[in-house]
Amino acid sequence: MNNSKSWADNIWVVRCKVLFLSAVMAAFGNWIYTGKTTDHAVTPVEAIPGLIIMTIIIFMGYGFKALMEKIPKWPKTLPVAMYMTIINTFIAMNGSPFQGPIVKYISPINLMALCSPILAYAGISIGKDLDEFRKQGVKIVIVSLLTFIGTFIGSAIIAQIVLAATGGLSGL
Amino acid sequence: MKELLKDWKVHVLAAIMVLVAELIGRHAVKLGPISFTLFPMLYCIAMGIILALFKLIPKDMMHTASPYITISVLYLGARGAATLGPNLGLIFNSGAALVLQELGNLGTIFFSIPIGVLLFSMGRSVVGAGFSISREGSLMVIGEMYGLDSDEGLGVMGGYITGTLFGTILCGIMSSMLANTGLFDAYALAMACGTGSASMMSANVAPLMDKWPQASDQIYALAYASNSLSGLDGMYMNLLLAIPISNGLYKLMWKLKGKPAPVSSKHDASEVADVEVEDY
Repeated sequence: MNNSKSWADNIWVVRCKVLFLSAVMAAFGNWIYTGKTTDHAVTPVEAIPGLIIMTIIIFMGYGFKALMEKIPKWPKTLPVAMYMTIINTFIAMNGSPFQGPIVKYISPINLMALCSPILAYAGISIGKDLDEFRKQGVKIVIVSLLTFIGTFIGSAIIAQIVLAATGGLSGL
Repeated sequence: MKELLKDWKVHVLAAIMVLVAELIGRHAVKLGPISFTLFPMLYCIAMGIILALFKLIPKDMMHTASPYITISVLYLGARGAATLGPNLGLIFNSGAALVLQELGNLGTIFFSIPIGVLLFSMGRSVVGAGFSISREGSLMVIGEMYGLDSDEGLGVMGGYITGTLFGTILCGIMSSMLANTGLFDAYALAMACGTGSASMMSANVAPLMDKWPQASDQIYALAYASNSLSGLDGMYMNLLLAIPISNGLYKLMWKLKGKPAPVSSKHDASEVADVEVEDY
């Protein structure tokens, strides 16, 4: 790799490229996944509108972050995902003109299909932490895994009790 | 164009991994009383670990792929647009449970610290690894309070690396297993999915959406809301509750053992794990 910065290393070019390729992988993954698990396989063409809407929301998130960071002393460490949560809350709430199309086009895209490209990139890069992992003490690893399990079960127990007390259980 | 595609190997490998994972498809596993479902995304991580073990992925590809995760993961947030808005009513109605279950994240302390001290006789590293699931925010808190070259720092870094490698797989199997026990309501499990990074949350919630397809939108909305809430309160929970409780419990457990509790010591930079911290 040479050190000269080319236009292809521009952060926006990289973002567009990775988002586009992730969307393509998700579209095909979704096709296979929905074909295996539901009675209607969502073809990549059918997934296009939903993927475009989601990509627009991501760029709105980037734009919102950039806009807020123009405010003096605004923390620059807040993740894009947090800005997207704010957009997500309002963009498809009841009464919003966008609710219909957003729900209609995004819903056919299964969450699992979106996860696969992310975890494929994660899988490719995971090796760089493998050597560090080997150096970790067994005890720390066991305690860490127990912590994951304990956090999940602890939250589930409290949620179950409070939902039962407030009548909010799904009943499923 | 050639410049744009200079990292083509990374993308082609990712595409192959996605394709193989989706073609294997989901599989239900039954081991005696335990049953869970494996999903394609988990195979992607597993393939990565196996390829790395056999040294089949060059180091530079690993480093090229790393920042792409944080870009690609944004689709999980965007997927929430279709579920969060339409389910705001459900989220507000479940507000009490959503807020209180955040305290459930502390429950793990009463589980991990006693085991670490009583069973493994661990020193201060147990506090670092046991007070939270060691994501980026936890690293910052421990770094500020004790320094990452302390025993606590070693613990939290160990937790971070363990989580990066196995967190997603553990999350996917754990929530699927718990859902199959029938002990918990779908909404309660959905809220419990909120801790951790976006991909851990998704690995947690995906088996629930698969099990209860008729409520999959509501389940994702609650998990997403819980994840956002943890992002907001996590730092304060750690500082004000999780670390003080862990410290108290650490002392108590060593008192039970009848021995003086080990104090923290500093370590060489070479002992401190050297990883890029990027939560995804």
